[in-house]
Amino acid sequence: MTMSLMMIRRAMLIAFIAALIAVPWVVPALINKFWVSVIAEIMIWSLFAASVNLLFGYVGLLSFGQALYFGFGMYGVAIGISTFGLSFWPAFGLGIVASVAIALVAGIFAVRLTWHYFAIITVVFSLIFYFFAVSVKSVTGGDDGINFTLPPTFSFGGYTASFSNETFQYFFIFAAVAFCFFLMHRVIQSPLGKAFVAIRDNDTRAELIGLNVYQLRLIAFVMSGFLAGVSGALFAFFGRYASASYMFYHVSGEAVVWAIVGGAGTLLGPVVGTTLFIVIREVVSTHWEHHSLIVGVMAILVVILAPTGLVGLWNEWLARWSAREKVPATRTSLQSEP
Amino acid sequence: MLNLRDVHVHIGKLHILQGVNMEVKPGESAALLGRNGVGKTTTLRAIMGLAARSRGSIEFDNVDLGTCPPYKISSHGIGYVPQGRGIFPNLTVLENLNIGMSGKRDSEREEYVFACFPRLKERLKQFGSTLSGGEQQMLAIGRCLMMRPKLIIFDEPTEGIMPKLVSQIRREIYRINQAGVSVLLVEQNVETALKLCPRVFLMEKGTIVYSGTSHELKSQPEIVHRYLGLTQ
Repeated sequence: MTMSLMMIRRAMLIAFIAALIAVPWVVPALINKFWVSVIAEIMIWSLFAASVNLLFGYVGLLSFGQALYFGFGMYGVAIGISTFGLSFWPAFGLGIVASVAIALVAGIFAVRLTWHYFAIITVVFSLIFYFFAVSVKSVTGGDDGINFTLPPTFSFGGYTASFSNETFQYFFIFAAVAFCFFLMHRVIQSPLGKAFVAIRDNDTRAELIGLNVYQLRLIAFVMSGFLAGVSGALFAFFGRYASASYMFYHVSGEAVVWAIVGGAGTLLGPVVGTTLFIVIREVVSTHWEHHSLIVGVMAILVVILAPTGLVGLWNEWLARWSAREKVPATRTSLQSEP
Repeated sequence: MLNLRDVHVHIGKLHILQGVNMEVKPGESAALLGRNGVGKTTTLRAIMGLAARSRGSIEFDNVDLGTCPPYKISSHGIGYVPQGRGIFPNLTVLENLNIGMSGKRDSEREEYVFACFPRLKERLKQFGSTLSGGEQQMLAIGRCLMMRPKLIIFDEPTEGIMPKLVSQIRREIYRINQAGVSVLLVEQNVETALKLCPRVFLMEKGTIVYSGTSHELKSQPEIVHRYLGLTQ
């Protein structure tokens, strides 16, 4: 009996989700507890890389300024809690609203441009707010950042759930990240997502058939700001602090590398890229301080040998295998993978 | 229907269109002919809002297209089949057909397109990039038809297509016109253009130098020779 490509992908996705659910119990037993929080961190950064991927992989806009929205997400939470005394959910909401609002403002100007002009303006926006955050120490804490005490996430009756419980923290991050990826999947499969791909393939052609390219790019930009904002807010809860250093363009650059190496234009590419590089960082950095060199060499190799990224390479291999096995093919391109 | 009056277009310092006057009437099929580089594609780009006019007016059904951004022009009823097919390679055939439909499916229209190009129905889930050149052209025309246009502009629709499929595309353009849709055809293949279009415009150095019926043009070989470099 042969399995269709769709079934293979679905089975792998279910196995992947099941493995993530099992992490808080299996990983401490097999390796150690430290890796549970590393995996939680990977999930947050994967979501951040996904924000780059939505713009670059699906709309064709390479942003080097995503750290700005990540930073606004972080600061929304930190300032909300430490300055305004907000509880968990309002602070979470403030972080997301702040990043979406700034993405809308930056997007109105940025999406009029494409290619390197777009990349440059996104960096410029990011730098303006980075230097602003560094200089207004009284509000942002500058590079030292703002530390805060976590309010409980839920509290009913005598039961309180909070990020101080590591298992709860892990599952909260898992649920939030999974929800965002699900949302992104739905968007990509919708007519809106197809319009994004059409614009990426040829924006003039898209305009000629009636697509408002400017408006659609702005929608994608704001959605991408939302994803970066959620990841920033989660990271603030995870680290119990916010710092201007996370708004620096080098943070955006890392996410670009993760997304491209993992596979831009594939939903799970950013997860693969982020996992690879964070695991390398965690494993190698304890033995060798120049671990970034490995990251650089790997990035160069992947871009040269597998321009569609690791997930793209996997999809191509799967498509070739299915053709050989005569598995009924559904979608075989870079964009095929859910 | 489509009316160009004294249209001038500059690209940088170059004066590409130097006062184009042209009219395509409802239900008419017209060909715009000329040698390479005389401004045919720029004329089409000006109509579609992609090349800014420095002077003159372009009206479609009494609407001044000069005030419309390119994405709104199709909503007035002008379809455009660009040179080099112009499909979206990473969308499937079905997605390509529906991409301009704002998320709404029009099954009746889909069936009409499949009746015109049965090959597309056989390849619904295939990506645009996996189609042959002729099939891609069919898809580009089909995508245009989905939007129920009143006028379709074809920019060299048979260029680089297998001879076997050229006749099918030619036949479908004829049928589209017979169904009441106006056609403006830019074609290097003069024979195709004269067969399909009773009305002909000849272009030279950014302006229309001849306007008449294809029948009249056939009887004036010196004009064909002078402006198209062909001997009949």
